[in-house]
Amino acid sequence: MDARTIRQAIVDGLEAGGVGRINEKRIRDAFLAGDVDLTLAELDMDSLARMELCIAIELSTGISLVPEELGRYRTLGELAREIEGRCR
Amino acid sequence: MIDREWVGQVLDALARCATQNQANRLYIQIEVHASPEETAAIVDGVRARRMTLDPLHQRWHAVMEHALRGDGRTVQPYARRPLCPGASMYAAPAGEDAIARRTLVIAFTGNAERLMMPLAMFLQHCPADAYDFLVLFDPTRRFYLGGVEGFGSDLPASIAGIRERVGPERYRRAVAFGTSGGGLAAVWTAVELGLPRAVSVGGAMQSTIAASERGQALDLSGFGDALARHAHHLPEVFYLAGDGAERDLRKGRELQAVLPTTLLLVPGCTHHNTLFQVRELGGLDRLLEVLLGEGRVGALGSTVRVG
Repeated sequence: MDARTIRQAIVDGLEAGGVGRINEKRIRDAFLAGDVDLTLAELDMDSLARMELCIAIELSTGISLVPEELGRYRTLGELAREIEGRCR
Repeated sequence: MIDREWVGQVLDALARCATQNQANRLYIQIEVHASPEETAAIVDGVRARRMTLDPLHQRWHAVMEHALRGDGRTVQPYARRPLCPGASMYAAPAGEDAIARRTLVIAFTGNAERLMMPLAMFLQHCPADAYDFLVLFDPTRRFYLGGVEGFGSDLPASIAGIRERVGPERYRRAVAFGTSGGGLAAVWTAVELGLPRAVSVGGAMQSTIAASERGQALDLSGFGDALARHAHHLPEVFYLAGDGAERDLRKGRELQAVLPTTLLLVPGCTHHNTLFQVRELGGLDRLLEVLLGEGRVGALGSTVRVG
């Protein structure tokens, strides 16, 4: 699974969780291209958004990550790299 | 009135979940669709079947049990009636006489298909003998500008569909309410239907839509046309935001620039989900009574102030 697909799963999960920032085309495109990273803190994620993010990752990649584990990652990029590593 | 077949299917599906994420996915569906009575039946069903839950879902059941029955509350008897893929009615069964004394709330959910909290939790704050809710969903997350599936293929057509199929004039009063991605649709609907009030909670505005991935090809010119056509009969509009939630405050000011709008601020709130914070502070009953009913903003107390 390539990095772009993993980043797309992250975007889909955040969108399903109603995280407004990721809807902004400029930010979304840059994140998908790997040009920009976003901290989880700046995304204003509530518990629903965290759940949706983990669900999208599991559905797209088969990697099971639960919302409590998201605290280990400071940025979405770190999360994407962790998933990429686990997919190998 | 409970859809017992649906509740049974949910309980069976819960029993089959192999991962926490599978269960979370199901709980999200419960939160989006289940009425208070259906949610109570799911809570009771899990208990009756002695199902084993992980700590996260044990907590969910405890929170919902408290929201539904805690502090002497009764479970509000809203019955869920799907009208089309994009809309469901939540209304306590009643004759036309009782309906004529109620307020219809046309509620546009946000991008997560919620009114900022589980629907059953939200409805518990609104007496079922006073309100019927038409709850609308836009799973395409295009701010309802691509229409409500089953009502119309754009927002004006969907508003016409609401008028035709739900009949707001059967009610004593109707108001439009929208959270987040549903905020602008609520204001537009109130303008178009000549409703007395619209409420947007952290609602999307033109700038948000234009900057969004899914908003790129959407045409918003109809909103300006509707404002011009109804310029002499505009609704009373409220925009609710946290007083420290900069992005929402900008959207609220954008709405103020378009039509007269009262900005309501939740003190100390820096995030988007203002309604949940108001609920945590114990002020949601009163806030919804004022916003959806005919209460005066001055009655809101310290939980919310006029900006």
